[in-house]
This record gives sequence, structure tokens and C-alpha cells, in this order.
Amino acid sequence: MERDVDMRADAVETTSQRRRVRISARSESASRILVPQNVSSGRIGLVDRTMLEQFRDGDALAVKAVYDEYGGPVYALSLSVLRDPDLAADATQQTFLKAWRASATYDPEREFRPWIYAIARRTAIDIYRKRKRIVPSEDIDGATTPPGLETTWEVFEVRAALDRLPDAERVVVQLSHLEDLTHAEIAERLGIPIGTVKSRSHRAHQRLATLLSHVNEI
Amino acid sequence: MSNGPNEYSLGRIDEILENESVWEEPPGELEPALLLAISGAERVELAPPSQSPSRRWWGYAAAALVATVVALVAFGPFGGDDQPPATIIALTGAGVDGEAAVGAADAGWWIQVNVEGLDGAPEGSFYEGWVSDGENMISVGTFHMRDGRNVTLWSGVPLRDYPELLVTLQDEGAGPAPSGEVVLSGRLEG
Repeated sequence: MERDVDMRADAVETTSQRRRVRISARSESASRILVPQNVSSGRIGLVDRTMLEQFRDGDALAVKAVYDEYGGPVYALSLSVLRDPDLAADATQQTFLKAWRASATYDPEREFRPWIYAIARRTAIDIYRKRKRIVPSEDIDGATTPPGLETTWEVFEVRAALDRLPDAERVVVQLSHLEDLTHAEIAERLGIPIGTVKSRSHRAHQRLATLLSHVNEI
Repeated sequence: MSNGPNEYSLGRIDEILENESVWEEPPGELEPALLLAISGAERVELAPPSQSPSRRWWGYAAAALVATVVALVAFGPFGGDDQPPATIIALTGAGVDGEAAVGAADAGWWIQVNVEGLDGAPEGSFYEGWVSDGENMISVGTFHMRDGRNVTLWSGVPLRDYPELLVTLQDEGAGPAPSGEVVLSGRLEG
């Protein structure tokens, strides 16, 4: 928790700033992954009831806030269905465009995540089906059938939960799962004690388990 | 590490985290592109929720009356010489030729499509007209062309800003997005 004070102090930072930090961390070479020193999860509560009412009323700035919070989960879901970054980007744009067009029908009393998830999944599946009509399935990279409802919901929700983790914890989880590094290797990579890696990993997983406690309800 | 009763399975989380899709970021240019697209998109507007059912009924009746008057002025015997002349757009497609006459009306722009050789849309599908500025596509109506060869579509956006006219074949239940199966296209010149 050594950075929690700084993290809270920086919670007002915009998500686009946060995203840039994360991209730079990911785009660095493997030996130079950056650990943000004073950036934390600033997404919780960014899209609040007032913002959702503004979204319903057609405020373009509210759409930007909604994209900043849900762009990652929608893109992850789309990519898991389509397996193609360009198609996933297209699906993501279509999702938010459809959401914007239909925003007057959104009831801010209802949860937003299932609403945007439903649009995103339908959009990705539509693109998948159209592409399948044109391109023989064996030519679609690695994709024979799109993942099922439960899996796409899990991908969407896990990504949303990852976006809520403090970056110091997120990078540990990322190195562990995406690059398959051991705790010792992560400690060496990040230049921190192995005990810190273990505690961050433990906290991150507990936080994810709690954040995702509702996922089984689908 | 054991899970509490309200915690998601850590094993399942680990499985999902192995999926590279979970970690990928959308391209940076997507957000400005989205905001640009939204600036030219139309929203579905709902009637104000405070209206009573009877007031809403009168609203529908008034809208129907206005639409009828507009249609009569545009195409009926009251059109007369005051009606601005239509502009013709040549339409082409695979084995299909046609034209669309377009003109302004009080409530938007009418587009009368006249096509030779376009088969009726197969069962489970329909045709949809679109106007486009090259980046955004806005629907101007649907039809099946199973009876006759004329259809009138309506655009709520200026055709000088959305000069391309396209007709796509859409699958019922496949969602509102353009299918990409363009059967006719043309462009308003000048």
C-alpha cells in the first residue's frame, strides 16, 4: 500500500492520461516496463448517475467519459470475438455509435454495464457473421466459432475490473499472466523486492475476486 | 488463497487473464474518430415522458397530419409549379440500373428510387437506403421491392452534406448497421 496516498491524490487524473501511461508501459521493451509512480485507478465513479443522465440527454462529453471507462472492456470483448484488431476497433466504434444513437432509450436507473455489453456483443457477433459470409471460416485467424455469452461477459467484466486496479498491482498481474514471469523474474524486472511482488499479486487477485463477485449472477 | 462466498473464482480469473484480448488497448485514434462520427450522427429521440397518453395520441395524430400534408405537397395534386425541380442521381449495381429523383420538402428531403432489374428482397431480408458523407451512413428507409419498382425514401439530413446514396441488402434480425452488401449506389453531383 506504499503508494496509496499518491494514488488517491491523483485519482482526478483523466482516464486518457491513464491510458497513455498504460500504453507506454506496454509498448516499452520487455526489460523496460514502466511502473507508474503516481498514477492509480481513477475510473471508479467517473461515470456516475449524473454523467449517465447527461449521456441519456445526448451530451457528447458524457459519451467521451463513457468511452474512457468502457472503451477497454468493449474492445477486449470485440477482440475476443473477432480476433482481428482492425475489426475489433470497427466493432468498438460501432458499439459506441449505436449506444449514442439509442442513448435516449437508456434509463439511468438501470445498470449501464449490461446495457453497453449487450450492444457490444451483438455488434461484434454481427460483424463476425457478415465476415463469415464473405470469408471462408478457415481464413479467419484462429476463429471457428465466436466465444459464448458467458465467456464474452467474463472477458468484458475482467477487463473492467483490471481497469480498476492500481497500476502497481496491474503491472504485476500483467507480467505474470501475459508474459508468464515468475515472482522472482517480476521482482528483477521491476527492481522491487520479491515480497512486494507477492503482496501486490495477492492484493490484486483478492481485489479482482471481489470486483467480479457479481459475474456468476449472469 | 481461498475465496469468500461473494468472490469470483480465482482459478477462473486466471483463465480469463491468459486471454490476450483482455489486455489489449483500443487504438488511440479510435476516440477522436468516434467523437467525430457522433457529431454527424442522429439520435433516436423519444417523446417527452411527461406527456399524458391522450396528449401523446394527439401528438401522433398531428405528426401524421403533417406527414400527409408534406406528401401531398411533394407528390400530390397540390405540388403544382411551386415544387422545386427534382435532381436526378444515376444508380448502378450488378446488372441493375436505375435512378433516384431527390428534392427538398418542408420536413427533409425525399428520394424517389426507380430501378429496373432489381429483384425483390428474398424472404428474411430487405433493402435499406442510406445516405453517406463517405464516413458516416444514415438510413433513409427500408423496402422490399417485391411489388413494383418505385419506392420513396426520406432523409432528415441535407443531401448536399451526404451526397452518396446507397442501397444495401439487409438480413432481418442482423442489427441496424449497414450490411456491406451494396446493391445500388450513386452520387449527387454539384
